[in-house]
Amino acid sequence: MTQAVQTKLKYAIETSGLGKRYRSFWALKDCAVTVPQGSVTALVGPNGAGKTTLLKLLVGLNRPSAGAAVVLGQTPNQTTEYLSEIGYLAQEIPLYSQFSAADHFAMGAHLDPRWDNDLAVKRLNELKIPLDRPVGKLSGGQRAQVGLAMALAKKPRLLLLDEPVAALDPLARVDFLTSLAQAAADADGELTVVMSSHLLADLERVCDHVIILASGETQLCDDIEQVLKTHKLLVGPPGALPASNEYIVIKESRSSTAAHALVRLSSLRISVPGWHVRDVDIEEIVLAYMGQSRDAATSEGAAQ
Amino acid sequence: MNWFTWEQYKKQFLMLGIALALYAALAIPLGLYFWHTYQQALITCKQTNTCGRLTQDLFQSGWSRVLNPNATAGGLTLFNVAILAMPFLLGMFVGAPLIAREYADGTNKLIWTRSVSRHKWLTIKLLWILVATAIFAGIFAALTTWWSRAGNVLFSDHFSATEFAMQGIVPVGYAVLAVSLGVMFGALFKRTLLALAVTLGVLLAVQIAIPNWVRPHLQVPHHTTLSLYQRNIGTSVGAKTFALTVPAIPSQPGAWVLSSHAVNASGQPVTAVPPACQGAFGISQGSGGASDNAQSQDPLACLAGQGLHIAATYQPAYRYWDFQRIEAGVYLALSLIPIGVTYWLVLKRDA
Repeated sequence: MTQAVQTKLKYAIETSGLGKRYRSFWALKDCAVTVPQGSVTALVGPNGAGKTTLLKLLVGLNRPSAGAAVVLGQTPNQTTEYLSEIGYLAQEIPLYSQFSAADHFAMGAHLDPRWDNDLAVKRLNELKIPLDRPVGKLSGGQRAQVGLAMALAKKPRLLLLDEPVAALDPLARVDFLTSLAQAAADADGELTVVMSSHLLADLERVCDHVIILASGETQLCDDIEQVLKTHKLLVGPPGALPASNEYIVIKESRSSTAAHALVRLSSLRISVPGWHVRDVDIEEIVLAYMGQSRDAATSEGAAQ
Repeated sequence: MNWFTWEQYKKQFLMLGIALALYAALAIPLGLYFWHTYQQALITCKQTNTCGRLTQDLFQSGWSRVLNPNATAGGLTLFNVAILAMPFLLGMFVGAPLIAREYADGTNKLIWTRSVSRHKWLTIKLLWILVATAIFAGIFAALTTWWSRAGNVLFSDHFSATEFAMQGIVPVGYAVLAVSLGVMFGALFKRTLLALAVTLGVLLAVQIAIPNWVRPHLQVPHHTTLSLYQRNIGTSVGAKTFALTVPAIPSQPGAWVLSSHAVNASGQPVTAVPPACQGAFGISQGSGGASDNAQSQDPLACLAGQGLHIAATYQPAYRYWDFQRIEAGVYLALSLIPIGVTYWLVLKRDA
């Protein structure tokens, strides 16, 4: 007896050389990222880093100017086969303002083959959001929840969320992230989530993977545990950190009494005489990368 | 997708339905009034043998109040303008926002990431809107044609620019073209207001170009010559100008006169008053001086005596429905261009 074996993809998303140019401006360039199947990935970076552009390329709303993306084994396209696998929530949470949440759900039921109406209704009932009121009359946070319900109830294999919690109050944010983590756990590795955010505190709560984008370029793409292992803060006497092939300096700061250097290690073993090695949290690491790219951008004189 | 398109546009469809009902509420009593008074007048004039002046009599009996566009009290000029505006309004307020509003509100990103291809989304949307447009315009034009029938018989003017655009099947073609253009400009500019303005501009240009430069040549016009011994000859005579025109061909009621001008016995155009008739027109002949005889002569009779007559080109009345069919077909065919461009814009461009 043969069993149908679904080829398990290692990566839900794999891009190489992916770039998007708007006129002469590269919003995203040479982007090479991998997102493992079943991961919850944070896509972080300052405004204008290319997060939205990357997500739009992945969902097939926009076409790349260079390179290629492979998403769930396919090149992003506009067919039912592809779109039914992807849940997407745009940054501005677009909804038909004259339609009620129930109307939107009916739309999902008509248009999405795996639509789970109970899930959508249950979510809004729990949050006490009226189903029959035009969404134009709901608060921003409530609209965001309707948008999220639309994306989740589609039962996608890949969920792409562009700044999903930006419009939510802190309590709703925690609620959402918790249910997102729950949804990812329930899917038992079948659901991959990529969520862009510049709220760094959200990362550690739900994400196990991080992509740092800045100035349209990938700064880092890795497992968060791995990132924590390979990034250390070196604290030592005032003066320059000796050059070494064991690490790359991401950010340095000096005072009259001490010097700090956040470094990426090439090997896990490190010893710099006279310097202490300390652990750092993900927030510091992300900020260090963002600061680095900002400094680079400033010295290049480039906008954004 | 059909269900969703219906949900999305049912209010618009309802408003179009209400507009039709309102128009019918005006057009049906108007049409009944015209037809009834026309029939009555026809009976009366046969008894009194005054059918030659039927039109004048009808005007005096009350038509002038509603019909005569030149009468200051005439309400029909505005009414006609509103009827002629129908395709424009459809293009601007149904066509232009169709896709522009989705872009402006960002809802294209919602709908294009459901499990429906953009191609299917656009096809169904366009089908609903264009079919609704055609049905609306068809009923609208049928109402116009119906209430205009007494006027058509009396004035034989349904080849005139305004009547031709209001009646028959041409309004259907024009409305479909208008909405297609609106949709395309909406998809191009992604902004309703700009799309609306450009749509209006292009439609006005089409509405000027087609009747003036295209419609006269849809079929090869007929030629005829007319003697000067008839009514309705328009004369424009000055020291340097000389033109004789006819607004209608007496033997061809309802024909659309494209051109008319004076020619001499050998068929050559005449662009100045012949010297022999200058006196009749009161034009000074300089040294010679006009004879009393010439001055007392009827100018047209004088010209006729010189062998002049009028050459005219026209489209005969029986071609009316051919022209309606051809022009409606031209508009429908032209609509394929904006529709094709819209597909290209929606499918090939970024969201």
